[in-house]
Amino acid sequence: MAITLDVNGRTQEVDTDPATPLLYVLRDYLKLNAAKFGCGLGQCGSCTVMVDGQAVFSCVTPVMTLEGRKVTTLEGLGTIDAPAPIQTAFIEVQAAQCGYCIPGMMMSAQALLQKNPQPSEREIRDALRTNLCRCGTHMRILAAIRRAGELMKSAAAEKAGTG
Amino acid sequence: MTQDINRRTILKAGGALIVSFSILPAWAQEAAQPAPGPKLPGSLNDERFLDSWIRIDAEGKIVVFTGKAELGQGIKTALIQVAAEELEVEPADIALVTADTGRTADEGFTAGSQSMQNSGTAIRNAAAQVRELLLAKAAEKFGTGSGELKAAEKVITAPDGRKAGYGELAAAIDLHIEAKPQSMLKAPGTLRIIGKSLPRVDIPAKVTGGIA
Repeated sequence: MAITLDVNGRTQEVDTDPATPLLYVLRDYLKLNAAKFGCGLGQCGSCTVMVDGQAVFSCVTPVMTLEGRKVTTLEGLGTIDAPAPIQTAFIEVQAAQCGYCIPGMMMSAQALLQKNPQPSEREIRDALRTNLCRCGTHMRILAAIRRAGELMKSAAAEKAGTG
Repeated sequence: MTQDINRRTILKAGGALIVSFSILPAWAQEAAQPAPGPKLPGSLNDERFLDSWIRIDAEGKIVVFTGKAELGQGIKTALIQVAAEELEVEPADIALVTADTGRTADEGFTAGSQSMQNSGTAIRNAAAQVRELLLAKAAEKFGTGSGELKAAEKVITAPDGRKAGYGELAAAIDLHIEAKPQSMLKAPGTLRIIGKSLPRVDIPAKVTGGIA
């Protein structure tokens, strides 16, 4: 069945079983490989993407529920040459070991920062409760998210100033 | 009659079989022949040719090979530092190929903090030996002693200012030769890159959905 998806601002048609998890469509059809398959059960958070600004587990989200909604993956935030504030922050703070959980961590954090540009430490930790990391970069991830908040704030101030 | 098969009966029946299979590979490793020739540093002892570790093409492009995998422990960055140090080039000048069955040395598991120990040692020694070969070739070209030459930025410079690029020198050198047991490693006081904390080369791709 043909399903129309809006992924990272691009409208794309995918011919697949409507029950297919979004994660499989992202990785196998659209070749967007940032979101990772971890547990496949919505328990580890490595597949996290944003749907209409909310962090969701793409491994347990059937594509049929996404028509008319905006899907954003890590690739949609920025590129290696033009990174988004959260990507710049993770590079600056060197907040990754193996990197498997990181795209999910970043999408949960991005969803938080979009709603709440100046979250408290408690709010950051709460937003990341759904994301597991077994390398142990937790403290750097938290530092990177605080840094991303600062970068987003100064980017917004710059925009307001020039615009 | 139905046969009652549970975990316990399977384990009882299969136990002996499992043991015999698990011992065989261990014996096979014990029986591995020691490498011929003198003992070489690190993984060079198993993969003895310089060009298994370092290649420089006629344009001066440097490719370094390791049989170890980047797992987030940062060895890509660290091995590049080691190679750049001994080759007297910048980290950005090095392209590193990691754990590729068809291209790199078989260095077994990437585990046990052995990557810098074994692969890092091999690369450091191979890089130092390649640097010495480049210097010797330049000395031959300039008609000077190699000790008077200076290597930097992929160029070897003579005291009188004459220059030769790594590419043209490498084109005249066969790196498919066995490494020597001893290398002219740089003295600790002269290190420029080793010992510094460099940004990890794999992180930008890992935070943008790329191939890291």
